Amino acid sequence: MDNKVENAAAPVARAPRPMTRRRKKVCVFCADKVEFIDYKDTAKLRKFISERGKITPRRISGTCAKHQREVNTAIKRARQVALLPYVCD
Amino acid sequence: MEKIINSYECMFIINAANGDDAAKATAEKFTETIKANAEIVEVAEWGRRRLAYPINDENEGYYMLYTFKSEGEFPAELQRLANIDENVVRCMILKLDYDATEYAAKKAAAAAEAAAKAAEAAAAAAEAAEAPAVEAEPAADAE
Repeated sequence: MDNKVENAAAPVARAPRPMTRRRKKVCVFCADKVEFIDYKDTAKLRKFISERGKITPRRISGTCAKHQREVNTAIKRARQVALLPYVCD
Repeated sequence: MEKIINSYECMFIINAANGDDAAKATAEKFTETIKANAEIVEVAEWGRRRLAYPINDENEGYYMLYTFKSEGEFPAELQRLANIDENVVRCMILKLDYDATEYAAKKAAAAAEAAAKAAEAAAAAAEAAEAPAVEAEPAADAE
């Protein structure tokens, strides 16, 4: 009980953060009304991998859960047939 | 029981180290195999491409992409044959969740529409190019 109260009070006790509300990102695929994400479309998929070849997380790319899942499978398929790298440095 | 026909997509990477002709021969062999067992919707020959990472110390591969419709047993058989063939570097077969023929028709229709639109735009542009020439004179008069 006590613990809970303390936790609730904690944000108030801390120095108030500047109120810069980040604008909510919109999923690119939802905006374009994409039917399915093609693994052969490397130009598009390249936007969703980092310089090291990692798949960008949802919180950075802003894609919705459904499309992130599709991006994941598409990138992994593209990697299998050497269209995209597993790692690059 | 009625036979179920599914749509599949298959991407081959063929060893390109022995030259394009050798790769083409292998591709031809697989085209024949697919033709004999399935209904081919589309064959796309991507040709020699750089690989994203080296496979068997090779930096290039010869890509072939097939879209076909067949029964469920054939893809497994195709994968088996591809694994046996030494010239095939990779073979990925995917089951498509849409009908390949319908999709190809839709794509062709979209392409035709785009071409028509482009032609229309070109015609409009040509017209527009002619129009200012005529209008230019009255404008000069007004000044």
